[in-house]
Amino acid sequence: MVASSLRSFIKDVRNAKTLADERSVISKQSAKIRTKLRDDRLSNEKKRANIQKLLYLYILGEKTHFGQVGSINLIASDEFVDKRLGYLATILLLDESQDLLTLLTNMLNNDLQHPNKYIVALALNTLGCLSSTELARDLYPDVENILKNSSDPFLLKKALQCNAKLIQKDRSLLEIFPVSLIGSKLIDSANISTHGVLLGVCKVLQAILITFDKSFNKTGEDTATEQEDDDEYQEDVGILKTIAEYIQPLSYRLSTLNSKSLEPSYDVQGIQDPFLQCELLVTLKWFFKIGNNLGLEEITRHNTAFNDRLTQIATNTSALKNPGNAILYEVTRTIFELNLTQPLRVLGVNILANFLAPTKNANNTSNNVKYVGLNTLVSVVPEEPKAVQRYRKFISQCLYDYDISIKFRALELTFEIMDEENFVELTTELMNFLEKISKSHYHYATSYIDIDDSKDLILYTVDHLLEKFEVFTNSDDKTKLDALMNTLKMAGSFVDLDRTNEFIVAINNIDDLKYKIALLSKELAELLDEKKNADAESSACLELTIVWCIGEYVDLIIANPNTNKNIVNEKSIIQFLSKLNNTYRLSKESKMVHYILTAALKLSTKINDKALVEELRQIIVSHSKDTNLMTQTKSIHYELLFNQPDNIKKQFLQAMPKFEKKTTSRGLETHPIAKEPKKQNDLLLDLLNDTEFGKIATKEPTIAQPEKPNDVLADLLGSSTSKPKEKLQIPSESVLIHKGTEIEVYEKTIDISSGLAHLELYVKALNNKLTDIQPLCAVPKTQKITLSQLQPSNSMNAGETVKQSLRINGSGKLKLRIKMSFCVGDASAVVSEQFDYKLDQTI
Amino acid sequence: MSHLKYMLLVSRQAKVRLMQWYTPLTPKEKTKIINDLMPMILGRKSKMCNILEYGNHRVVYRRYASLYFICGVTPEEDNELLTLEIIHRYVESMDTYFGNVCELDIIFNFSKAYDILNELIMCDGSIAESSKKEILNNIKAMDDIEGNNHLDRVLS
Amino acid sequence: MTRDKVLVLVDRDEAHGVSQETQTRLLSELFSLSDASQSIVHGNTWRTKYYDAPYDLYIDTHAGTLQEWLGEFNGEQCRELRDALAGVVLVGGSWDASAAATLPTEDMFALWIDCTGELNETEIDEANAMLSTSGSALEVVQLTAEGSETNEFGEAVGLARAREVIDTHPWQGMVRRDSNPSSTSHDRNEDIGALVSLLNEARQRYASLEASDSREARELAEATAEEISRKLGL
Repeated sequence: MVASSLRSFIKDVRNAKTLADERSVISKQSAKIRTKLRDDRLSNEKKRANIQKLLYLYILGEKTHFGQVGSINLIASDEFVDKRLGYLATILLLDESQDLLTLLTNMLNNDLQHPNKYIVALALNTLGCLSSTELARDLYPDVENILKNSSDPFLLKKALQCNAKLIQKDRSLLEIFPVSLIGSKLIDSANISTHGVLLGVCKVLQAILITFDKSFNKTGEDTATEQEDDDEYQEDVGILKTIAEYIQPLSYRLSTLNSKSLEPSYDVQGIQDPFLQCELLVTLKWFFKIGNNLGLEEITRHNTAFNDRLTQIATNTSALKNPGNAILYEVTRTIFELNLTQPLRVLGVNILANFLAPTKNANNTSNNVKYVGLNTLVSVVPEEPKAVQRYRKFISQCLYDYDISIKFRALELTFEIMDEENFVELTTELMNFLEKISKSHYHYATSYIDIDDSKDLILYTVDHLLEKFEVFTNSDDKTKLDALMNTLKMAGSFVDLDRTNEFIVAINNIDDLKYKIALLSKELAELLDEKKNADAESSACLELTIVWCIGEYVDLIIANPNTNKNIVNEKSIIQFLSKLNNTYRLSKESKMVHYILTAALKLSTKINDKALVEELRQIIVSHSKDTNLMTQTKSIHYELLFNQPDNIKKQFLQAMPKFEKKTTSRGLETHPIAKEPKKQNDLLLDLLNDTEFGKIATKEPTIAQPEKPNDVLADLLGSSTSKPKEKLQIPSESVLIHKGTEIEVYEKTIDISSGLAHLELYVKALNNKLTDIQPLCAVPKTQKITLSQLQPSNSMNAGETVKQSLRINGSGKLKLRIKMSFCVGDASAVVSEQFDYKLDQTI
Repeated sequence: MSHLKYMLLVSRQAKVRLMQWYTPLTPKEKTKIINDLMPMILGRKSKMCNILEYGNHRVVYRRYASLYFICGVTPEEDNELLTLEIIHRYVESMDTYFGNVCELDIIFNFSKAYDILNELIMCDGSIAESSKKEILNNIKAMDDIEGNNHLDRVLS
Repeated sequence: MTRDKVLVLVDRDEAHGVSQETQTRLLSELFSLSDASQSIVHGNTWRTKYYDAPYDLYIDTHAGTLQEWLGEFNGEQCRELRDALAGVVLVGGSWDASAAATLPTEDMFALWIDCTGELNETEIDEANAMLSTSGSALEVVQLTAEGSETNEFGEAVGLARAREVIDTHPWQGMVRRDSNPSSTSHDRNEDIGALVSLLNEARQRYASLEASDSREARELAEATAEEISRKLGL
């Protein structure tokens, strides 16, 4: 039933309805414009009005391609008002790839020689925006002509911008472009060298230098003959020598700009033209980047002067406001990109660290500075670890910033600067952080955005902590163990149950058994104390870990004199397992059940009380009809084992050995690499290969039930489900990146986002069986690579494939140097194949 | 250094008021960027920083009155702090031209908004002119030529 | 069907709702409505410096929850009404924000004018951020006592902001007033006609100003001069 007022409105609407036109107004409008644009007899005024409307539709995101010819036609008019709109519409509606561009050539050619400078400027701008290689070649002479003959800064500025774009488009123009044109006329002349002209000069020089940089880097890979390469190289060096003469005057302009504030129209909050200052810095940076690479004396002789200039700018520029910070930021990027002297690098770190310094009036402007500061510091840690570590107070403060993106960057940096020395301090800091954020997750979350954010932060922290724990093998065990337990308690509910294995591996690998037992008995006491436990939150992750620890350490825990036997005893522990078994029996969480089963089996060898042993058997038997086939099989296997005499059982159920880490070399890298913790089932399979277990198992026919004994044991140790080896297929969307004598390597990109890339390599054995395959990967300094275990194993027969997944964090171009070593056939000699692979992407 | 990939003006009502692309992208890619960015940026709190990571690049934005000015930039190449200043220069220039510019002015004079942008930023997304005065003088000179054309027509 | 109706829904809940006085004041300030007794008012015009847009005003009052009202409004029976709307203005005291987010906002403007005076700037900002993230174009503004203030972004707040939202709506029946030489084509005579009427209008308004309003008078003179020069294409 609709309320009476709404009904009266509906009635009113019906009354007002005349000839109902249901079509949307927009499609009606564009249809109308489409017809009108075809009409040649329309006056220019009408045409203009139509193009105006069309552009309005363009902004609304409607299809407007049908207006392209109309826009170009408008340019043909003699009137400025038509040309102005026509050029604008052309830039917006056309793009570089379109055939229609040929239509433009003549008009641009005419307008580039027009007596009205504004029409020339419109044509130059359009040529720059739409330049195809063809257009660039055809119209370049007109642009050069303006550069040669004009003395109007406005026109020169536009011509320089256009010229820069043309050079980027067509490198061969450099052969005919007289670079000396830039010379004194454009850089030094009082009347001509306006800031706009200088910005244009910077763009042209950058275009030339970046083009050179690309081709110098490419040299050697190209298919062109060496002779051609060499000729081109000599020509490039010739040009470089010519433009190297501009280093000094440009550097001088930079210093005047930086030290004097003369013209109010270029002032930005007390800083003289930060835009030009930054462009000059970048231009000079490119000079030195290339000059230093080639060892070109014409450039390198300015090195010292340039370093002094950078110091001078860093000292003179005020960091009070954003424009000054923009310049300081550019200075630091220059220092680190050129990897300048150590004092300068430390100066750079100090500038960046100052960006993090807490300010009294926290607003988003200071957050922007913090963001770029943290971001840049992350990338300079490899060069100047100590200098960055000095500012860990500032970094830690950023962990508690209001802004989630700042928090993330600060976390990233915290992990980046972590080393054996500051391990304890930083881990403690991170524990505080985790505590605060997991608390606020429950208590202060006001919107769903916050909840997601804090979850992401928690997961990020947990992931990286685990990584670091594996890397820093010599670090304080107590800190590690405390941190592991605290993390599980505070953040366990956020962590995927599958990742618990990594906690278990980490706990297992800690050497300090005494402290481990003491801590576990304390934790168990807390967990089993029913009075305390009533309202405590417990996560599946924590429970799973405790279950594993019970199976592994129960005898030691009970034997520990400090254990509170009133709470922690055989009986209470078995009750706990039993209770947990009941809770999870019907759930889909078979992983938990598997761990409980394994713990029960292990426990049975460690206690004597018959009644309690029977309780353990009941736990195992309770799954003999489980609907989950895996669980059922496991239950049946375990029951069989359970009934074996103790001495046989004990052989299988010894304490877990330490998981060995496979060394992964980082090649070009120098600082410790964080490896992705290995999946436990792989570790276990590995273990079986080099311990006694495998041999015993094969000798023991009683256990050889439907599955191979190896699998049973794998289950036993970790309760992970071992699957039969599947034949790995190379995905169709992958690309061949290496073809060698023994192997072919394919790459598949899983995900590339900013700061992170996830790739998979598929390695196929071509002719022979390969064993002991060892992948080694290196990435540029600004990145960090994490290798996972080879899947399905580190050996394969001819025609088979193994998979290696890679995660790269950091920033910059994706470049890999990959070395695969292996043994061929039954030979024991190690052979390797090495290759480089560049992705056309940046992270 | 500045090397913008695009400049978008979006209202708080999530309506695009102006878009200029400095890198070739397909219409599909453009639509995706706009559709992805709008909720991301409109949903950000005012105290958060103005830089965010998106896809393979970075986005710098700033809010003026009811309009969001959004720029796509290249990490490692663009100076994000400088990008904020470019946006500010653009706003200042429009403010002077229109006299306290508002969203409505841009809707009804978008071609002027584009003209000003084209004086400020060159075809490859770099800054072309750092003086507001210089930008506005040239815009005014071009407006005058248009006006004179008009007058010519009336007089002849 | 041209979307030219504006629907105003006023929360008249006895405990938390909006008083008759507030309703009258708001309708008069926002829509220059003098007679608050009518629920349907035909023949209004929304004026900006660029265009005029004719519209009809529908005023509804409701004492229950917003959810109830939206249940009806979003129903099939009201489709015809929804398709005729240029916009919806919720004038609320104590309504639920998550219900408000279900108001359809496609092809129309949507405003929620909060009259409780209990929200601060940050809360309004966050409410709006949440609405836009959930894909709603509904915007919350606060009926403030004083008129023209701006927030930290230099944005108008309160009714001034509400006016901006309506200003920037692409009215389907919009008639452009602007005669910017570069935009639409115009007959020269029409321009002169418009110019004369503009001058007359300005003179009359100038005459009606008090002597003390010198600032307003100066502003008017400046605005008129600017308008005229634009119309002349200078």
